Amino acid sequence: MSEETPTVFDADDALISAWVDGRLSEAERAGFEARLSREPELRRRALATRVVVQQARRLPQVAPPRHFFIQPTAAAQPKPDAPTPRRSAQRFMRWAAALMAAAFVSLLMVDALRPYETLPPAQPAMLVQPMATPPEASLPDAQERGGAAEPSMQALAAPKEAQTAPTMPPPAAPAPLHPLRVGAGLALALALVLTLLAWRR
Amino acid sequence: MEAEHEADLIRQAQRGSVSAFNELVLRYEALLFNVALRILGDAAAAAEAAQEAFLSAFTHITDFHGGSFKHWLLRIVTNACYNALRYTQRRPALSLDQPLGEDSAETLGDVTPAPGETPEEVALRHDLGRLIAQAVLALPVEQRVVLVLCDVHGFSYEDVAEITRTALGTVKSRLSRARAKLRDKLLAEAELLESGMRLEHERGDANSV
Repeated sequence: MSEETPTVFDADDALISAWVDGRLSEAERAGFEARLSREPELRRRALATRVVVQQARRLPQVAPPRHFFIQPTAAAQPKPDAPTPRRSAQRFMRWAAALMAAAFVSLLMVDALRPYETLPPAQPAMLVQPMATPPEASLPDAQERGGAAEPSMQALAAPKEAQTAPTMPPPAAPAPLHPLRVGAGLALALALVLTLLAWRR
Repeated sequence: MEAEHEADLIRQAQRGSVSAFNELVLRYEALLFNVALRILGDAAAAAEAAQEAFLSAFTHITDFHGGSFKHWLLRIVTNACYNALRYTQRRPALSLDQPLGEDSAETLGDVTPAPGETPEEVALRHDLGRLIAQAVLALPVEQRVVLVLCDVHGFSYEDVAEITRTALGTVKSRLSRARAKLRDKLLAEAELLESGMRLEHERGDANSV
């Protein structure tokens, strides 16, 4: 008895149901009842449905085993889903932490996608300056041009400096952090702090 | 007059009066328990669902903004039944011959005897009632809820649509499918069906077709 038997649903079942409940219009009822007199199977189903409905309406009402009164203590209970101040603060911090984490990720992505040209120009570690004219070569030239036979102290000093190339550039000032990276760092720090606070509460 | 008194009780309950709410409980507890009983098929589970429904109704009574209080309560208790069935993952208990209470001999399969019925007629009606009560519990839960409200408790299609918050067409469809399933169970018991039809005819319940 308890096993389910598949029931084929058709429009007639809807008609039968409406007929049993007196929900058909006059014309519909007359047409349906004409069919009932012609179609024994439909008539059988309709009458059986009516027996079902009538019997269902006769199923007894059972007295409850006890009263279901609410105890006055229940009145003091807050609604299970009512937001308490603590829960609200916790929810706020959770949302804020999520927002900060999202901001951190977004800033990192924007920073990564930034065009390379906009980065501050890289400072080479060493500047290789072109070699100055060697003194041996410059002295005969000067003599050929009829200049002074003895090179001046300045003329001698300059090639010496040039010979020390490659030279170390003056120490460059540390490049300032890009604002995007500063923002990402702040967002990450805030996200961590808020997560910690929300978790502790 | 009665409606005014009920509205007054609801207003008092909304201001926090437990005693006013308990008057409403007294008024509707039998209905809610019986609806839950026919949906869940178990007296203890039905009592639990009814209690949960009243507690939920009390804690959310300020959310009630007019309309039918009875329908509002029925919506809450049917939701409690859905939850009970969902969380326990059980089918309704088929304890049709089990007494419903410690001090009661009533079972789910009992039927209310009509006045002047002979013992044979009462026995036949008992068999029919048992068959139908069992078939109701075997229905899919959405169809069961609609059939219990419409056929067992006599609510109109429109009322059931409001209680279950479903479209009128859905209510009609679920009801006709549920009735068809019950009818097929009955058709399988040809002897019982013939007796049932004869009984209805003799009692003058049947319309002339």
